[in-house]
Amino acid sequence: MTMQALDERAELARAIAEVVAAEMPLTRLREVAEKTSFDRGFWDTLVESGLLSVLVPESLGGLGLTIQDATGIFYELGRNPVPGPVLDNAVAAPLLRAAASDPGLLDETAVVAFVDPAATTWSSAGATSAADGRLTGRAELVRSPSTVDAFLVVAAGVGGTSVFVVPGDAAGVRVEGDHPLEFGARYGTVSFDVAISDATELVAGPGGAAAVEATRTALRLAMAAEVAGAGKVLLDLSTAYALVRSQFGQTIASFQGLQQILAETYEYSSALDSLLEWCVDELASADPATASQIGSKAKAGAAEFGRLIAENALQVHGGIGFTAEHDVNVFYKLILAREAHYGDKRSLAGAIGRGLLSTP
Amino acid sequence: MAAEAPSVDAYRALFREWLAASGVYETFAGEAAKTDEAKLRAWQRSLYDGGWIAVHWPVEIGGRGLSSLHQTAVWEEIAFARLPQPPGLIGLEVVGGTVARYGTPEQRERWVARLLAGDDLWCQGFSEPEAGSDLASLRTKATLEGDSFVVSGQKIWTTMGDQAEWCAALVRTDTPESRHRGISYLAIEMASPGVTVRPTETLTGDTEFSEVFFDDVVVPKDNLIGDLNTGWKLAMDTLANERGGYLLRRRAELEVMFDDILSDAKARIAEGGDIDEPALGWCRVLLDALAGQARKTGRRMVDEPGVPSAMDSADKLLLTRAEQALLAFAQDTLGFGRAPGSGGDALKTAARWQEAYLYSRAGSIYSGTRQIQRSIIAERVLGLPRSR
Repeated sequence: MTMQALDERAELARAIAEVVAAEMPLTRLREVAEKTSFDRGFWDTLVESGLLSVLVPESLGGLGLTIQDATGIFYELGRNPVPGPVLDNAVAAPLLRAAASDPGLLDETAVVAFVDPAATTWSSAGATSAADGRLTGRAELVRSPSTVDAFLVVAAGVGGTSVFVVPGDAAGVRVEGDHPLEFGARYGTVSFDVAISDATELVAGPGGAAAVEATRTALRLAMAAEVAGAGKVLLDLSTAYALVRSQFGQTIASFQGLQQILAETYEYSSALDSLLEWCVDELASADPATASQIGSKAKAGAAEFGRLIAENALQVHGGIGFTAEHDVNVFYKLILAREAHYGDKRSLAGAIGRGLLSTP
Repeated sequence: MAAEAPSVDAYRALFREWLAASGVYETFAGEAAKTDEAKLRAWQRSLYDGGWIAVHWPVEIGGRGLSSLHQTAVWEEIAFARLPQPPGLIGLEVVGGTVARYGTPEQRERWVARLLAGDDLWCQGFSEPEAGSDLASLRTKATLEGDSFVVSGQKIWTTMGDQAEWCAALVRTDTPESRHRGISYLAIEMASPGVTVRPTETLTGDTEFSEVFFDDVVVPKDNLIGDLNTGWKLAMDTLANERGGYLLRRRAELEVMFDDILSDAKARIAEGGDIDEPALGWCRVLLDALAGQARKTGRRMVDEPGVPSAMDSADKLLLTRAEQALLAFAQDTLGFGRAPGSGGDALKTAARWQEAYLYSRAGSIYSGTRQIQRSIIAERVLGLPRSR
């Protein structure tokens, strides 16, 4: 990538970060989270900012960036979380639309939730299939299930892996739970027993599995970037707090025990940044199987380092960090929400290990 | 750097070609050859004659004016090829640059070419029994008497102390209270009367380190490098040059070990054993994080050569984390009672990995303990006050 292209990516990430900082400060995020975790007006602002068209191919009117070009944007969204199913609409929908034989089958203004049985660490937790004229099954960890216009459902069919567009109000869609796992996003389990004639097959055929796997890789990288951004905020918040909080007549930042925790937190944060940078660069020249491993590596690192950063941040803050109104909460919960979504450290590292052992 | 300098990749390819034609693979075909001092010294001589040594030093002091990434590419390729590093690495990577930069033209003339060619091996006399991570409290005393210093004291953890011809020693040339302001940088010939070297057998069973004792050793005044009592500045220059290059070289060695561990792990599976797959995968994640970090370090080495950075501490911490995780996996999977193979083969495999595992535990101790590295980050990166 040329320096000029790099600058343009950074400029785009900065511009989106500015919009988000102005329109969705944490106080506002908490208000939205109290209600439905979805704010239509702010969603329109996100659309205008270009966020949702970053990964849309230029031929479809988007910016045509790759996920590796866009990690800087998701890093910013980790620093300043926003409400709504952003990853579903900024990552999954554009990539699946690009893989469709007719992208027009998915209305680009629809707010969608990506429904993928592989989203949970334990894959038997859900399964969806298409057979005999019906789309059936269930999937967990579906974002904003009660507020979206449509679901993008990954389903195993006779011809391979397909992705269906199912209207939110189609007969036979059942949403269980609407859990505020993090500030600004609710999660539920969605069950389907829907007539295929009520759904639209967006991605199908032999390329379906590859398109879905590429989408998962992109989601893992975007999540890892969000966690890296959130982790950086937690490090900064903790450092700043240690410098002002006084005990025994000094700031707690002067205590060696605290310094070691903060330096360790820095170590985790910079390790995650380095891992992400490496994965992004490697992805550019990776074949599909390698790409999948790269996504798993980035996400496994985010799961582990993110959690360690968050736990240390809480420890540095002490009691005040344990209160609901403290901002540590927002970033801690974002990190926990991402931890097992599309694989936790153990499941992803296990897949990486198996992949290595199976090479000749 | 000269305008026609080759890219690091092109340079790496040139070195590979040279390696393939050099006959060194035959020289080091057996394990025993890799510790044969005469063969190792000849290996450094051939690298020197081939123009692969001190390539990152300025031309004026005996180098080739390329970047430290070019030099590092040479060390990495040697590691990837499973060849031994040249025996004078402490001279080449740690003290040599300081000797060449701060030495007078006469001193350079006297020492540098021999150091580079491996005719003289150098060791680094920094640490003392009472001055480990707290280097500025060192006590080895050098008193000026006429045209000579008389040196008395003890150094410890001196790598290659039992083979080196010269020692770049930090000595106290002022009162003990002078701390870092009263230290000088002195080249001491190891064959001098009054120098006693006692190799230290370590936990791993080898004798990489020695204790070095100085009893009224007479050192000519001409062996003072830099001005009197400015040794601390030179020591920091040495340490700054040590760290970045070490990270990159050690990373290459870890990648080689990873391949070997993976291959032994497959052998274990073939014999019906199981593997902690997540632990293996996590090692790979850490090595990839380290690869990303090493690339940043490489950029820093080119953009700000020789500038000490608190980022060196972050590098060291991640390197140690990856190294200790990888070798703990090896110990857990391939150690005694766990290694594949039968009889002698299993024991040999287990012994190799146990030794490497034990060595990895030193990673959070040498060149500044993990706790010291974190204190450096706390103060210099995070801007926290001096701790109490």
